[in-house]
Amino acid sequence: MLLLFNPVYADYPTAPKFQLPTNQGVIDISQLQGKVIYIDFWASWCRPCKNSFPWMIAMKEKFKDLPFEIIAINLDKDKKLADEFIASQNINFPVAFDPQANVATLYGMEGMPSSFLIDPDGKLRIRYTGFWNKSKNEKEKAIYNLLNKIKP
Amino acid sequence: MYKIFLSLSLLLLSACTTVQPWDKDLLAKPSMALVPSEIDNALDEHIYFSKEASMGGQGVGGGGCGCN
Repeated sequence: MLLLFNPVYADYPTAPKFQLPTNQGVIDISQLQGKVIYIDFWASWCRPCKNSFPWMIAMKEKFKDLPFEIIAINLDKDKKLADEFIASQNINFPVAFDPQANVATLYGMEGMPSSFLIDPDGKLRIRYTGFWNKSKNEKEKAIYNLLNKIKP
Repeated sequence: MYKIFLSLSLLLLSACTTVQPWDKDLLAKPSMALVPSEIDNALDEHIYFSKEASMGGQGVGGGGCGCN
């Protein structure tokens, strides 16, 4: 049985930088330095990934006036499937496409979906594997704690 | 003869590799599920348990899911 846990990185490694295409141009994560970033790797064939979108949309809406960004990175090999799902949701954050899983390999993951919380200094803080209803509050609190660390 | 067999097996075993999470899209398809209908399967398991006091031998719990 796969042991799924959410490790807090012990030494906060630097989050790998990347540039990926979105439907609205290229997104470069280094331009988001100074913000709390939540990166989520997902695919249209993965039901927990799809179930996490309402929560992510709600989080982005909740913290919309704060320096908080979500980047959803799609790993579908067929972009059409991803676009179909995107069209069915009211997504209020950028969705990037990484069909070769280059960025996914850089970040490393155990299962789908995998999310990474990055602090304003560009360091990886927590990796979440899977999407669980019971850990939604814990994740929100982690985002909130990191946002509190940013000086106004 | 034995050495040829051994070296060939080692060569073939090097093809064993970990499947990355993002490559499990085919595994997540409904046609790849270990049981065709999970609800029917759960009912069957209960019937077998009630009639025969036997358990197991059916699909693996959560098997076939490409997500984890």
